[in-house]
Amino acid sequence: MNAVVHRSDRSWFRTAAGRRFGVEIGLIVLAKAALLTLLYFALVASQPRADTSPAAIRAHVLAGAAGNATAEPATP
Amino acid sequence: MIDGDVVTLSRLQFALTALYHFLFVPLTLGLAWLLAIMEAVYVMTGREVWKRMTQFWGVLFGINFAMGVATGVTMEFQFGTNWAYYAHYVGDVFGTPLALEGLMAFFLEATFIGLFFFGWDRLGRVQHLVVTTLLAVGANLSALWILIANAWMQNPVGAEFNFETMRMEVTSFTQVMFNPVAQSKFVHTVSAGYVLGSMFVLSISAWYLLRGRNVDFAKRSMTVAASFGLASALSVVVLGDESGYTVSENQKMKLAAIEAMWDTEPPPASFALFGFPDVATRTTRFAVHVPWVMGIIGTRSLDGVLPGINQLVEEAAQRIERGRIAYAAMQRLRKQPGDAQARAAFDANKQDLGYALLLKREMTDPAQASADDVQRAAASTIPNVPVLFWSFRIMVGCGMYFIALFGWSFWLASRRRLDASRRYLKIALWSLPLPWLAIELGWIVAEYGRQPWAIEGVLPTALGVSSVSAGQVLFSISGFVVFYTALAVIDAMLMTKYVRRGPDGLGLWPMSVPVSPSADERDYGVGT
Repeated sequence: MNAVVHRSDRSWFRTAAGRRFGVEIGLIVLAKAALLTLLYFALVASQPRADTSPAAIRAHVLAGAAGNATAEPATP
Repeated sequence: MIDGDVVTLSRLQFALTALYHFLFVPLTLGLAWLLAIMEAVYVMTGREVWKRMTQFWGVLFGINFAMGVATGVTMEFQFGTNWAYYAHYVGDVFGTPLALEGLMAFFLEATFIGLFFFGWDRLGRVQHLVVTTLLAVGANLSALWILIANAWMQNPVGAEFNFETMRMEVTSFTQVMFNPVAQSKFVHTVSAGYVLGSMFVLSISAWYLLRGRNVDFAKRSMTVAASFGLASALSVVVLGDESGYTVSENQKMKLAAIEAMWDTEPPPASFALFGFPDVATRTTRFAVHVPWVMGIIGTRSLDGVLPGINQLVEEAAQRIERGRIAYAAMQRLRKQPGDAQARAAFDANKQDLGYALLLKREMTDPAQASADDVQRAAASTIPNVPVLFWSFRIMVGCGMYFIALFGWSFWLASRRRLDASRRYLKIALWSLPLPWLAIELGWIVAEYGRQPWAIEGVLPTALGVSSVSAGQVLFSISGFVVFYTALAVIDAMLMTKYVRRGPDGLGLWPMSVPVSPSADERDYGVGT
């Protein structure tokens, strides 16, 4: 009886089904990271950045407003 | 003046991403503790089925975690892209809790999730249980920090406006950390997550029982879910009451809007059980009131006064006038920092400076505002009453339903009759979406109810928005919608796939090779 392999000692995550699950999850995380990067470069980085220089903040709160503050081109 | 379209679209974008992100977060919060409970039973009893239960629900936890992780990062993108002035104005306070939340989520939680999946063969039983417990603790601590940041938006304590740097600066981080709103919000939110996690396990297990699959596995899972779910559902209501009490102290307009209480009632105020708030006439049609209840809940006394919306608007108008004094004094101080008279005027009225900024939605200089402008700005402090009124009632109704359902489940589990009634199993199955609905409505009450403020009484939402165009925001919203829809479809497909396969289809249970010693054989098939 002592020679019987104690099946419970083996994690399910090391079985074929478990490994497939791990690969699927890993691929999803990688795909998400890639999509988020794409999203950043396509939608975020290409847009002009809000001007938050001290002068712009003063203008925004004290006299001007969002629509009046100038936008600066995005820095690479 | 501020471009209203940019404000509306930026708010819509943030709301969409926040509501989407919070589809995943509460399941992580709740399921993590359920995994810890199941594994603790495994460690205490040595019964293999509990280990396999931990691993099966761990698989679904893993899918949810993988799909949900980083969906919140896009919100932090938006602080820079859409809310640059907000980020500047409050960054000194807001930055630290956000950084700590990132540390908790990406370092503590992510590290332990790796050990949870890959440590079964490498760690001892107790060591692995510690890992699972720390995974749950990490997830909850991550929530704590983000809720501390959010609570500061509802009740900005421990910070003061500096007219030289034109932003809020921390005066006491202890006050920020131990903000009473943060404490009540944290326990209420995580308890709601525990309810969701419990309902997730209960509903999926009910589906297995309806199909006659994984019967013992499902009954054990339901027993854990029923016990944990009942305790959590009771906690949510009790802690929600505490959360409501803090609202009555710090956000009187939000509470009045939730209750559609247009005028101050003699104490103790009644609770509007039902009705149709009419914003145009400031009345509630077909209102059904329960005497005393709101006064007792809101003030915990019989003589505490809860102000009505009309009275709060009058108060807001007075605060706008004081804010204009502070605003004018601030402009003088910026030109002549040594002006003692201006300094005294500023210090006496600075707590209302934010109210003067409400005028900037329609004019560049609040000093030019007419009496009508002030009245309009004061009226703008009323949030959307019908949305708040009904969101709150549906949320509370769901909360009461959860207590009843988990109570019923607990009663059936204690009699080992969980699979006796198909009607019960169907109800348990179809209740699955309700905790998500309740939680999202809870966030709508909390955040939509704070409007028109980004920071309550300090910074109007409209003033926090970046100098971007409506077209740019529309472009980024489209990108987010496409990206998040794709993620949601993949998530639904993966979850469905693994739930359908179940413990039996995945080879998790029953085990194909008999286990020695025979504790598991004795255990398997004996019921819950």
